[in-house]
Amino acid sequence: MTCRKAERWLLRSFDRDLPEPSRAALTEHLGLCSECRRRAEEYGLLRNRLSGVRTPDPLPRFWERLEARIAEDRPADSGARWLRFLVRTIPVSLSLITGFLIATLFFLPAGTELTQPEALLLNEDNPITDTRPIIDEGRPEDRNLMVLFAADERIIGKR
Amino acid sequence: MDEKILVKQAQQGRQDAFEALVRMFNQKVFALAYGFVRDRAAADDLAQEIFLKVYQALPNFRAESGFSTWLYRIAVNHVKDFLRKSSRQKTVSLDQVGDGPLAVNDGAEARIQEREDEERRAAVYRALETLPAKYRLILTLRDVEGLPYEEVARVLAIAPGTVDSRLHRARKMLRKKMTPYLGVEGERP
Repeated sequence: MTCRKAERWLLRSFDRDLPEPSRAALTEHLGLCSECRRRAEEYGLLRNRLSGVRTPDPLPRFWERLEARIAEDRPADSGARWLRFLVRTIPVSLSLITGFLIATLFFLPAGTELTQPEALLLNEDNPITDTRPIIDEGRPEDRNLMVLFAADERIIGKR
Repeated sequence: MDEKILVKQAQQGRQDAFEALVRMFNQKVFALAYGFVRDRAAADDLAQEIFLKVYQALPNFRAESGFSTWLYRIAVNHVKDFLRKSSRQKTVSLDQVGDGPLAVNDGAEARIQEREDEERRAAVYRALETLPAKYRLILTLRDVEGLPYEEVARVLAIAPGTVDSRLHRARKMLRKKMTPYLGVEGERP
């Protein structure tokens, strides 16, 4: 076993159990190599010093102070959220309005022309006003026939 | 009360449940922060900020990991931000490590020994502070806080193999910095 490999296994052994053959090989190497033995002691010492630190307690009334900060933070936070929301909606609203205007300008149908019957209807004109005196002059049978023929364009065409 | 129940109640807006969670974990969070700043007031302030973040993020906690892992992750990220912002890479001379003769106050051997130990520990911490943040972080979680290996991987969101290699490098770097002062045989060079 090389010293490099021994160091790697040694450090790994701090975090998990080595397989039995590896552990045996490492132990054997440490027994033979004074340099690695010294290194192992140094690593052990460093770990002990790191883990043996005495951490003081947090400052008194930790929760009470935190509670005050939470309460302090809450309205400001919701206000800020609303502000952020409003700021975010400005470009969206602007783009929607612009889009609507563009759609109105380009896609709205142009002014439509009325057909003759529609125009007559709009002006409340009677379409048969001009022909009424002629119709009134004739006999009722002729009148009916005239109305019937006038209504049928195919017959008019043939005529 | 069970941690999961407390988390659920706190998510529903129960302040007393959140208070119980804070009381359950404040010592651990404080210790983690203290491991980095080595100052009681600063560590306390960091711990408060961490819990404030936890409170704000609690509605988004989905319990995919344990609460303590999630809490540690927030704490570690906050501490990382703090270190980045303050960029307090102290250039502490390791020569300060208890070279001078220790003052003997009352001649009590135990007190001298205790003080020596404390100075050596402080020296190791000063060396730790000079390591790059990612190595400092992993050593603090594993060797100072004593978090299980797998938990370290979860908190840092890295693969176990990465934890392995990063710890290896971190310990080697720390030893290299401390070698002249370790003096295993007789404790001092």
